[in-house]
Amino acid sequence: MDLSKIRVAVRPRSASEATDLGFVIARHWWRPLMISWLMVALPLSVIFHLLFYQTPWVAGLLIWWFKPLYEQAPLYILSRALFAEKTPMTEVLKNFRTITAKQWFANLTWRRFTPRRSFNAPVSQLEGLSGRERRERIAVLHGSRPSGGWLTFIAVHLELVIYFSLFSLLMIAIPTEMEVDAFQLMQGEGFWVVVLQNALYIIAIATIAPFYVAAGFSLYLHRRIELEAWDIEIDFRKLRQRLERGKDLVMNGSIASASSKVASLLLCFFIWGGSSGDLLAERVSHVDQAVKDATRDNGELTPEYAKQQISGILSDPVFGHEETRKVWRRINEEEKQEKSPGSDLEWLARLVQLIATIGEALLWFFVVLLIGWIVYLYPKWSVWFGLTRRTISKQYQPPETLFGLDVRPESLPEDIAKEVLQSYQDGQPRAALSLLYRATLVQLINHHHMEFQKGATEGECVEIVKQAQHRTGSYFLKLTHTWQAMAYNHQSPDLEEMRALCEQWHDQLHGNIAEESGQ
Amino acid sequence: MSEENSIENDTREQPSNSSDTISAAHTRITQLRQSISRAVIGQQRVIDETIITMLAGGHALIEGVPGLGKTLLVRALAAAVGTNFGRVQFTPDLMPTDVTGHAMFESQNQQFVIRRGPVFCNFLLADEINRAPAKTQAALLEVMQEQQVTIEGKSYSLQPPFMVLATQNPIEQEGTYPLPEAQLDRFLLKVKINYPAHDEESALVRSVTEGYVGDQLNISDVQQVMNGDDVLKIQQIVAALKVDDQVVDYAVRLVRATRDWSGIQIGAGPRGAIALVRAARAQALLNGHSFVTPDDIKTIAGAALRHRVCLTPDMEIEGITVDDALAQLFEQVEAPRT
Repeated sequence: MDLSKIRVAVRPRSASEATDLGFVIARHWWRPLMISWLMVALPLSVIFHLLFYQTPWVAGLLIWWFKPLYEQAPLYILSRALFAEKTPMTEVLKNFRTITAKQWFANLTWRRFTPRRSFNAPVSQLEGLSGRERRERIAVLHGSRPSGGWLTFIAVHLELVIYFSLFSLLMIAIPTEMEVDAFQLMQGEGFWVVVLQNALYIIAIATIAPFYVAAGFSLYLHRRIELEAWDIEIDFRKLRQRLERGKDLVMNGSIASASSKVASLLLCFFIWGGSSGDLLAERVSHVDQAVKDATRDNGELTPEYAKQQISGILSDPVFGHEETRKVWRRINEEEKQEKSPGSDLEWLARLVQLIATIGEALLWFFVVLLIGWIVYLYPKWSVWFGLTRRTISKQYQPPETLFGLDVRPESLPEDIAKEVLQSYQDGQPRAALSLLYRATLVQLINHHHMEFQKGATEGECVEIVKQAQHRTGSYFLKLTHTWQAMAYNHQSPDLEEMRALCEQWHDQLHGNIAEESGQ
Repeated sequence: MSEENSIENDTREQPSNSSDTISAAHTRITQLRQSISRAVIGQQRVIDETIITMLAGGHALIEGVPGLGKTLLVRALAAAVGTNFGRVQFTPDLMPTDVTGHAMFESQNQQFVIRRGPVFCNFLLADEINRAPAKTQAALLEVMQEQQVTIEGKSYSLQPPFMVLATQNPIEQEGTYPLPEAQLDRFLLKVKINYPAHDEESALVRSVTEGYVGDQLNISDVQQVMNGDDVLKIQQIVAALKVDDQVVDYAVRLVRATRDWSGIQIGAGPRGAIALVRAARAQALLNGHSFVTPDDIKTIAGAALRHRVCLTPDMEIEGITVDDALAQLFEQVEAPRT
């Protein structure tokens, strides 16, 4: 990588500027980027469709899944083009296996879902790092401001926008007479419909891919420019070349590549020292000597040794002299700066802080309230939306009143059959039957845990008992008919019938009360 | 008709509903159900509700997709009762006089003669009533209410029993004229025909295809089990059935609840409660009872009220049907016990 050949202006840029530069790069080399992307994506798409012709949606999924693989060839082209190296497609094809084989498994499995794919790709592909080295390198590059996430987020949305736009365009182009339902087409029933959807998707991702790759690469480059001071290095190189040309002071290649930065640094100090043309030759030779001193016999420069040498150079009188300069400075300026923002806006800051605190507290309060409300209403909603069936609760709480009747066990007389017959013989058949019917309901509700809705009619109650296959089913049916005839037809049962009902009640239901009193 | 099955003597000689009268009427109704069931396979609830409408002296609005046997049902009913059957296919260009009849100048006699429309029958099938414009619908609905037709200023009474069975298709609403709520209110019941169960459909296909040429409606198995007079007698028995105050109160509470229910925008009016009790009387007789119970009310309440209420838009958006909303409402109204 020869920095002097880089085709873009090297300077520190913000992430948005770097992304913008990436888009410019993508526009400039759009054709090779697009061709190289399609060169991988199209054959794979065809293979996927041939493999999964019965389930073409799987092919669509795989097309999406293999996106990292398509982006490697464009990145390869871009990395060379930026340093003025032409990469013909034949060369890409020749190196195709090498390019795409690099860490393909990792890229398509655990790294597939990383949102910073475009930023991280150069580390794996161009720097060739993997494993721990790669992780550490990426950590250094991202630093405290990870880049590339938003780029992926926006790119995905743009892909969707293009996809749906193409779909809408297609729908507009279809004549109305064909009566094609857009919704059904979108749902994708039938092989060719899904293939069409996949084709539209490929067009959408192909449109975005060059920009995505270039922007990610640009972000990566600028992070390196920032960390490795490429701009300073390039400036120094230019400076050195100019000096070499101007004063014919050839370094004779004595500056080894390992010490070039130290030399540049020292050059910088000399130049900042206000050197004139007469002193320049002497000082450059001095630097040359210093660099020679700073390197060992084998030409290697160790950090400790370099530090020692640099401190020695800095202690030289050339750096050690003092200058006295006089400048104008406003008096009381610092006091003003301290006072003005604080005194005028401090109350506002406190107010904003207070409002923010109250707002946050209110938000949390509403969140808790909302959760409580959902928990409270969930049983009702689940029944309403049919998520759960309304069943007899295990913790059934028998009601105290039902159908306007008191259905508490304690509301019944001790000997029900005797009381019923007594009422009947006193000429109150309706009251007698009502008591018997109520006593039966109390038994069914409290001892057999049968749940009756308040809107249930007599017939529905019979049906509930019948469905429960309770032994009292036939008795309850007979009693209900008698009760209905009494209540709605004013037809009183005769004494024999009444006695039979009481006896059966005693046999079938009284046992429960006896058991309960025994307990 | 055999003499022992006749209820004429029972009803004429015993104006009050004795148990024998009820029993004889119930037997006749059971025969009617069985006779219709020979032609209309399955759809027992639909048959019952149609019979209930006839016994209560009302008219039915039958809703269902085409091909479920609406016409067959009416023809089978007419054949079983031995009465006249008329059919009008409602179309957008149908005029009121096409239904009721009109005066026509006869050149031979040099005078106007009255040509009676298809409405002059006992059972009229108004097929796809919502396809005709409001004017024609109103003409028919007036006949339903008054049971007479006015042509050229002269009134002509219709021969009882008279029943209109109007049908409408719930899915094809394009180019239709939906019946307004005020006119829907005139139908005693709204009967919904759904697709038959698998077994019923198999039996239906077998009976229609075995030994018959073409796709004409086959009602040859339907036997006449009563006549128009019998229908009138049974209608009188139904009208004389005992309804306890509690039961009437229950019916009224059900209807009033539709006006206060949050999911219902427009509840049923008093005509709803009247229709409910009338239909419940017929339901009780269908069950062989001599009195009406809350069960009879609740059984028929859905059919009697579903066309008299309008759901709120949010319920409709949620996909809640009128029947679902009414079922929930009925669960909340306490049934009488005391």
